[in-house]
Amino acid sequence: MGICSQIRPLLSAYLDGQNEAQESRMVKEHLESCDKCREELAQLQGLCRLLLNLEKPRPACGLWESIKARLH
Amino acid sequence: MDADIELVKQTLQGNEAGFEKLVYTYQDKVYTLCYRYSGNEEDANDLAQEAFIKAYRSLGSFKGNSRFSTWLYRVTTNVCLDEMRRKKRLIQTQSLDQPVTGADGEMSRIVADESQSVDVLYEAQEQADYIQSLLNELKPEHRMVLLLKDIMELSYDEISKVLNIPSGTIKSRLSRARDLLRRKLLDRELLP
Repeated sequence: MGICSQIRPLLSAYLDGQNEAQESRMVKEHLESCDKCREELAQLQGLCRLLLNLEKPRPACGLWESIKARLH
Repeated sequence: MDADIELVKQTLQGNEAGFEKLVYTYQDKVYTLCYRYSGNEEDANDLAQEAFIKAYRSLGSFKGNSRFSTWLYRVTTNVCLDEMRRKKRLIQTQSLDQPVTGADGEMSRIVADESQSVDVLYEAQEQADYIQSLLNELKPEHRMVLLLKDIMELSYDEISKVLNIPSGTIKSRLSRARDLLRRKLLDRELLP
């Protein structure tokens, strides 16, 4: 099993700064020399941007009134 | 946060206006979570209503040990997961190749052809719809973690409290969900 297959499952948490210190160092060192994993990390960053930029829909008017009518 | 706790107290003392303020404060976030979880407005409205009603009825169990928003998201995620499980059970009883009975009798079931919309996927709305369809395909548990982190912007600590799962589970669910979406978006050339 190559090093990339050990690193890839860690990339998501690496992006969030949630890996253990040792894992984080290992990922960082690997990224310096691996184009493929750097590319995958950039894709994950792109995905997170897309998700964050999705429209935040608003409820229809009258949500409170509908709730209020069902409270009693 | 203190303002929320004060509103909770007012509500528990019988002042409904306190709960009204909580609804207005959190309705957009609760609705967004419900919408992105269910994928449509009708279900999102029903789920958001149900979440606030459940919250109102169980407000006495909120002890103030966490932020009110964390507690409310926990109620909301439970409503979403329970309701969509129930719907899934109903849907699973219908096979895709089974004929549908409509007002004019039996008709063939029309299934959307994914390839039809490839040319226009780059349009913003089409892209958003496609991403939503991918979210809908995720396992409910994976979808919920992804929504809480990448759309609602909750921290791992908050997600852990909302879903009552350890950080390791959040990491693995997020990693799988993101990887699946990444691959699908790459297939459609929607990622660099």
